[in-house]
Amino acid sequence: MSFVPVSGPATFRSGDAGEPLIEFTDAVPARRTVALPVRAALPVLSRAHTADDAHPSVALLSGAALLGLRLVAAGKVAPTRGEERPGWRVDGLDDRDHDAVRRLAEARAHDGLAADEAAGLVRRVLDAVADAMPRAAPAVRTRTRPAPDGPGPSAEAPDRTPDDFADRVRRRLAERTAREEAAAGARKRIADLPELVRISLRVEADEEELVAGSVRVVLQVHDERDPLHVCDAAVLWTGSDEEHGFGPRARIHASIALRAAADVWPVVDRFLALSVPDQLTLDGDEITGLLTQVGALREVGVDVHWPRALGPELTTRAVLDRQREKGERNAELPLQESPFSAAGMFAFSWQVALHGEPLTDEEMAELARAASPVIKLRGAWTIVDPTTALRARKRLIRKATGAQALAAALTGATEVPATDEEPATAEVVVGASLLKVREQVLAAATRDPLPEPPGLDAHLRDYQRHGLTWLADLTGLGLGACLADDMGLGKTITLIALHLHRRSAGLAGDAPTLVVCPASLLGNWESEIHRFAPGVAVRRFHGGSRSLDDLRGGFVLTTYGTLRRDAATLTAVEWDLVVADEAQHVKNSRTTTARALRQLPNRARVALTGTPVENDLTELWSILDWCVPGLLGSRQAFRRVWGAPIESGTEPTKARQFADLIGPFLLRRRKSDPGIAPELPPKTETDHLLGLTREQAVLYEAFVRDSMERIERADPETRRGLVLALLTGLKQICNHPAQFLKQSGAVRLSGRSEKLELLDELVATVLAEGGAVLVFTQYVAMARLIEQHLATAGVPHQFLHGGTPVAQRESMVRRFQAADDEHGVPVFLLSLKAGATGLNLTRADHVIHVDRWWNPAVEEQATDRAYRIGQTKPVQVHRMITQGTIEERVAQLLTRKRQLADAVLARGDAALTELSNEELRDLVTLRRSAREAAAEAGD
Amino acid sequence: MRTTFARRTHPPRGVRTWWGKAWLRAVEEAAYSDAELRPGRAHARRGDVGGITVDAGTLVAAVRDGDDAWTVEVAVPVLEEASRRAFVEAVAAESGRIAELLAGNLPHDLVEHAEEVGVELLPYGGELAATCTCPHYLDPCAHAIAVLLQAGWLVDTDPLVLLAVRGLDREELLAALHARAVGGSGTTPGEERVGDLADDVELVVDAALRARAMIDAFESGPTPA
Repeated sequence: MSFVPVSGPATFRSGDAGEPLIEFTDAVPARRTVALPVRAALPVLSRAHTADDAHPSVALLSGAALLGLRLVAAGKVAPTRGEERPGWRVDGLDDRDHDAVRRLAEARAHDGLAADEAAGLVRRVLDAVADAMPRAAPAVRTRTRPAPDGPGPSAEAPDRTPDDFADRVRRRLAERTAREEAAAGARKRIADLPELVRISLRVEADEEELVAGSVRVVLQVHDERDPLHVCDAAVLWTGSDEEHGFGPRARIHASIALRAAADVWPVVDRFLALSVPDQLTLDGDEITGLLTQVGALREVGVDVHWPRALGPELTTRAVLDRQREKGERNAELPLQESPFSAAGMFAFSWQVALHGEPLTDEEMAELARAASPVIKLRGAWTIVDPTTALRARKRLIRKATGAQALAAALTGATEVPATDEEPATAEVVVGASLLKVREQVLAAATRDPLPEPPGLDAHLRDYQRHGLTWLADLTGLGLGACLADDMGLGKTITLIALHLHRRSAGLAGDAPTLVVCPASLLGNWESEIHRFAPGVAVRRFHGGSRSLDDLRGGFVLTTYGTLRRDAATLTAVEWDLVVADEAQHVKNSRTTTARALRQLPNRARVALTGTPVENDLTELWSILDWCVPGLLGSRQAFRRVWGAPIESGTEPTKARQFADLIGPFLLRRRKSDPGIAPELPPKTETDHLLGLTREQAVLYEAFVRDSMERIERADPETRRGLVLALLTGLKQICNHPAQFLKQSGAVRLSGRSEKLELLDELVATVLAEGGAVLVFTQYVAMARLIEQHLATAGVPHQFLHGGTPVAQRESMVRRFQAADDEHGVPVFLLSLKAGATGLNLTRADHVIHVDRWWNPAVEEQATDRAYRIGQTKPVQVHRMITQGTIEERVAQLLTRKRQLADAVLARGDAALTELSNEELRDLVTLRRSAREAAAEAGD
Repeated sequence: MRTTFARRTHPPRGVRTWWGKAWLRAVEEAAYSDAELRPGRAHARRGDVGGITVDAGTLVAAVRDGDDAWTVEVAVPVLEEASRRAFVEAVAAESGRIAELLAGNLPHDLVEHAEEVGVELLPYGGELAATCTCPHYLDPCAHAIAVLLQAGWLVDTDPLVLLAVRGLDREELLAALHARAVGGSGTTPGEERVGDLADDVELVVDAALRARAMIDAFESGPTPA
């Protein structure tokens, strides 16, 4: 790699002019020779020092050169004395140095060179190195002083004594070393200084500037990693790095940051035009511009600091109160006149506060008049945000309907029109008049319960009285409510009690109560009203001969279908209370039914539902928007303000606000709630009275006509068989036409039997509650139809019948009993006889009898599958009875003529074969009302 | 500092900046006739020009012409030391100017300011002296035109390329701006005592310091030659 050969012997000799040379040679064969002066030889020796192939003589010279350098580096150099040529030599060697020379000579002595000779050579090399290193020859020659060790002062060169010279060298060397180290440290320190910076603007102003309506912005520079490391731009531009502590590129980064800020707030351009961008003076418009761009500046990383004394201390908040008319003094609400139905009675308006203290009207007016954003308020200068100024000028935000006002009062927040398109939410201060209403609404569910209203022929349980009180208070305020108790907690009776309460409190006057429900629940409503409020008129507005003539108070029952078809008749009545039962059916607010429901004139609205509506925000909106129109805003507004933020889960406060908002209007008690379960009877039985579809009615009447003819003509033997066939056929028709017609496979099942529809309702509610249900029918064919229907609806179920093998039976029971999780089978179909014995199905909290066995003992036995030892929950029994048919007639027989029934019916259907033709005809003939209802329902 | 830019195969959407256009005008001025300009443009657009190496005062690039390849070297006068200082002063006169330059913008008022103090930043046609290894008898030949045109594209996208050609590259500019701020305190430690320079003591001390550096070389082994 090097041109200078080091593999052969090297010699140290004097050149022609007496200068020392080092001659390098190759190993064999070429014998190249290169002679170099010591200065030039040093790099070669340096490389050879660690080279493996260096000749021993080269190694010796190299070691000597290094030793020489060490001596020079230690300053052990002095001018030569008494030589012809002025030069340098090593000087002031101590014992260790001599020792080093000797050890080097011994170590590197080699063939043909003894250690003594080597030592001599080393010494000569040391002097040669000492002579080669300085830039120049010594300036003063001391030839006249041959004795180096002569003590005492010298006349010619008093400062040239060797000790003195060596001292000075040592001192100077120490100085230089220290200085160079300091310089290196400083370079390193500067390299460590931060260069990446952010900028910020500091607003300053003195009195004169404020009077002139102007302020100054001072540019500040921060270390990006340490925002507390800050200095004014003026210092960064003009000061030294000790003063500002930033690296050399900091100014350039600050300029770049300024350029980015100028894109956001063009006034910054004026900084860019300054050679030292220290500060700018802003006039009024520019201050306004700065105030509006504060947010945008922050986004590009530029903060604006306001002086404490001057900062935008003005805050605004929305105040909600009854709109004050000119000259009106009384801010009290006429509570009885349903203030929440009238639009525009309330208004949101802005209130500006200084340090939290609301401004007076005069101050607000001053603020509104001010042309400059710098004004003096209460003796102190204040910067007025343009938004604040605008709010002071136009104080009214918007008028609000009662429901909107209530919503804001309940949540403490409202949407306000912001400066840009994005709606903002502002904190709302509730005015005194609304505060009272809010307290009343909030207290409704917990205050002392009302007494039971006169005319109620039942004893209300505690939670029912609370429900009644809550409904009475809310409806008394002209607000609606949604009662969403679990099925079986007595929503119907609570509603009947509410009707009676409003009547006795004089709130209802003569106006009737309208109940809208699914057709399958009409019968149940009618029978419950008869039972719990005897004497109260009940009218079904359903079927062909429906009429609202001579309506005087009382209840009117109708279906959602009738409401849709006959909305005009129903909206012509001034209703007191409108009740929507199973209100989750009116999900889509755009349907005709929903629109008709909204148009019904009313003083109060109550929605009933047994499903946990709070889990489905859209459903909840639909129901509450009907109960309390305007409370939740439009569907779109609801999605934006509540739905989306709550579902995304990013705003926990939203969910809490929402709960505050809807809480007062939604009452949901669970059967399992503490304080409710103990009040429930262990077993509740409900007869669901159902109508026939037109198909069923036609089939029924034709079958009765046909069979009766044949029975009347038959002899006693065949008669008995014909009667049994008649009874079986009629029961099948009541169950489902498809059962009677022996249809199976891909036939349409829905819409042909109210039993199936009620089953849907009940099963849906049970599933929503997380319960389990036993469904009994005596016909396997019916069970198969139900199975098919449930499968279509995707409801998990299983079917046990007489033909089920014992082993499978047990696994079914285990599956039903064990599974509480989502893999469970919550619906268990049983054919009555199969289910009647030996099964323990205590997981079920509902039992549905699709048809009647006409033998109470058998029914009891079936019911007891669920209601028996081990059952911890109350059990509800639902019996389905078609109205006007043999089913209802037999049911009446069972209750009214108990003894007879026991005697006659203990034998089941067989007993009926002994009835006379007239008795039988009376038993089976379809009642006119049922026929008409069926005819109407088929429209 | 020498920088080589990647070869450009596609022409840019067009030179848009005022200084880019000024450069192109200078190239057109420098051309002897359309006979060189037209094929020069074609070379530039076809991507016949290799990577352009930019250094203070020179632009060097290879240009392919059929089966031949020629080397073009363009000489651009660099700013004299005084002009460079004046230009740095002009940049420093407004704090926004360096930010503009770094953002790829050559502010018009900066160039005007520089001209007022006698610094001509943009070269005129006569200043662009090109030599090419091709046998064409006119300078600049089509190859040189191609290199000059593509250099214009570079200058158009980044005016700092222009400064680099003029002998003031980005790092030097930033360092000069910084040095200007440190302002006059350019005394490096150790040079303040001029009287000591000829002193024997100083000679020995210097030698000692140099010897130290050399010892390091000895001990760290052979340095790469």
